Amino acid sequence: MTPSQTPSEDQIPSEDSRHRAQRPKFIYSHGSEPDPRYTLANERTFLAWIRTGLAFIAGGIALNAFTVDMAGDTRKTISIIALGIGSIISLWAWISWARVERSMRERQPLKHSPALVLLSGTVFAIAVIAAIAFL
Amino acid sequence: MRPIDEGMPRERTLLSWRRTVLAFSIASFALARLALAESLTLAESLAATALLVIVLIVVISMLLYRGSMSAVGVSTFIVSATTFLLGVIEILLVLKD
Repeated sequence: MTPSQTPSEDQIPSEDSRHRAQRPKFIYSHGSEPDPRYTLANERTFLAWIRTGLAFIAGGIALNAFTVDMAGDTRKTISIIALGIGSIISLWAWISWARVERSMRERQPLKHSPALVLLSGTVFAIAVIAAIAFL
Repeated sequence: MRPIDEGMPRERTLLSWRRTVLAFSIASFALARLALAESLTLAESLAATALLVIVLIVVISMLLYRGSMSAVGVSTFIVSATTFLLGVIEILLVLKD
């Protein structure tokens, strides 16, 4: 590039203007860009939560599809619980990703999430209900 | 000598997107198979929509990996919303039985 072709400073999009163009604005209009490794780690955590949600949904589908010898409407109930939890986890994944991304941009400590405790409790509850239904 | 990309975070993230696409494909096509019992049109619509979303996610993840796209917020939202819809549609199908 010859000096005559060099764009002036105001023609080069600044780091901030590129971030402003990103969506959603409630995340990218705050703070500054964190270390890319942390951003990518946050993205991978989001994807891991989505896969957990999909596993619940697939479990709910499987339970509904196969003939399982369970008392009354237990099979249907467990299936709906699994599908509901899977759906909630998939939405929670995005909310959690957004919160962490914004905290990282603002250089704030990451907020505590009750999701893991709730997830463990739900898996335990499903296992207990299924065990009782099989007996 | 220091490695060029410490920990290969981009590769790990791309592989994570791939695993998610695989899980999404299994769940959505299982749902389409179940919907076949209700209606052929519904099953075909679900399968076609799932295929479209899968292609979209694969393309987005490739662009993110190459660094030629920075819409992480939008792409994560699409994945989140379609997974949520998948669960809701299945709940409706179970309740209809």
